Amino acid sequence: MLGTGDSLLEVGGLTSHYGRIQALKGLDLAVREGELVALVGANGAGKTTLLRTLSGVQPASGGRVTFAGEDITHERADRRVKRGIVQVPEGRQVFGPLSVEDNLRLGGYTRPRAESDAGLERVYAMFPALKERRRQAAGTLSGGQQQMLAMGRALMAKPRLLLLDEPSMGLAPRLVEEIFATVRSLKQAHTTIFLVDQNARAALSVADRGYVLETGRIVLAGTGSELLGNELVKAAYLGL
Amino acid sequence: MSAQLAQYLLTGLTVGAIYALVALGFAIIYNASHVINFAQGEFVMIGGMATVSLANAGLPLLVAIPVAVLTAAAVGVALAKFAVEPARGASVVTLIIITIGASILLRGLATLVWDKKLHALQPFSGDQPIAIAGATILPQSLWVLGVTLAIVLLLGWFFGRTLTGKAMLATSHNPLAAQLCGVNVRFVLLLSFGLSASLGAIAGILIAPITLTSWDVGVMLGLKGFAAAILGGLGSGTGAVVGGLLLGIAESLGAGYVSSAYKDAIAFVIILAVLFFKPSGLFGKKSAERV
Repeated sequence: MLGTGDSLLEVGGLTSHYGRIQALKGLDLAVREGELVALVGANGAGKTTLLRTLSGVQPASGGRVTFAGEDITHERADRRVKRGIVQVPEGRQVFGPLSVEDNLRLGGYTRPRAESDAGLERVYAMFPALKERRRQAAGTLSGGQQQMLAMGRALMAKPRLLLLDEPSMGLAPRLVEEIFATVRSLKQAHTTIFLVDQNARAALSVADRGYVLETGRIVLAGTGSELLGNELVKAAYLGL
Repeated sequence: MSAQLAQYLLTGLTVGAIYALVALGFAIIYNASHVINFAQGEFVMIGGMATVSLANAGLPLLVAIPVAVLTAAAVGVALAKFAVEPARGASVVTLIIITIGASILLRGLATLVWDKKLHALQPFSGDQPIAIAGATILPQSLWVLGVTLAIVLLLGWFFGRTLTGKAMLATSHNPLAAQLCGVNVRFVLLLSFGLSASLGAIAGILIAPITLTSWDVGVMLGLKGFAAAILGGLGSGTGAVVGGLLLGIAESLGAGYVSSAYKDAIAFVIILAVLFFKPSGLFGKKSAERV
């Protein structure tokens, strides 16, 4: 099932360490063009570490990451963004003192200026609340608006692969739904997405395929519905 | 306003503008790396000394000054690349000690490249004092004030209007998110050292015709600039400028009305007072953050 040549992202035997602690213990996974792949796992399983390693802000200690056929295992973070690997980090991480519009423009840092104007319009059309507040400091937005801003900022970079780290964390249920609706519409627009979320049910429901991560290893893989029906997943992550 | 007071204020503003430039250098590097660069004063020295030696070699000021500024910028970038960057991940205290070491090294090199004598630089446009409101001002002071104003406006434009400037601000606020936006934070670090070094060098060149320059001129100017940065609030651009001007005026008034023997003490009394009563400084970061 995995490792076919048409994968946009291919990860083989990936390991990563924090000092002497090994956080990723040899991961294999793949994401094909246009796919929405979800990764579920408990706190501390290594989900965020995996995304940080894919973005290049956490070094890989072994294994291989291939993007669009090219080895990027040790490439610098900013070069990966230029390639189109763009992450919406956990906890939103907006630039608090800067305006909403500046945050978005910085999202388009790697793109030509003319493209950034068009990108702004697209993001504002998607999140009208951001347009109303475009001169406001990003730090004054509500949690939900900050999440939209973080997603908008990532979309400004024209992602070929969008990495979403816990987009629904800490949000009210109505906002969680809104975020997942956005994820669904991005998928319909053929954006390739790798989604990590605590909300395993919601994540696996929108996903084409999914992986289960436990203590730095992939322990299960399958389509979204297969995993939703899996007894182990039900017991561990769906609270059934 | 008495002529005497006007004189003190003009003198204070001139020196204050120099402190402001040095303080801006502290702020820019602090924002990019949270390092307090105690080699900042040495950039001031390099600017002045390099200009003097190039001018003595027969180059016109119009050539000597840009070359001196670029030299200082190159030293700044080299400091970032070879001393600060390899220590990335070390504690801030370690990085600060590295900059102190660098400042000692640079002073030593200056005594080898140049000498240990005092040097004068010719004023840019004569030394005929101009009378204003009963006080007099040197044409060089007008250069100091004018160039400082131009630099402040230029920096305001750079950080407020250009994407590169905003990327530097973004990096200072959240380096991780900046990286995820595709900002090369390593480049930001080098740029901030180059920029700060240039500002320091310009300060050193502007003040050289008024106060003379020498291999160790950076020690006191660096400390005064640091005091100004603390007074204004470390990391704040507005704070650096206001802090510099206030410090210059306080010094000048203190020297005039109290005793010139205490001139240098005033800066340090101000540092102590700020750290006791308002450690964040006048314009210390107000955070607009919702969790």
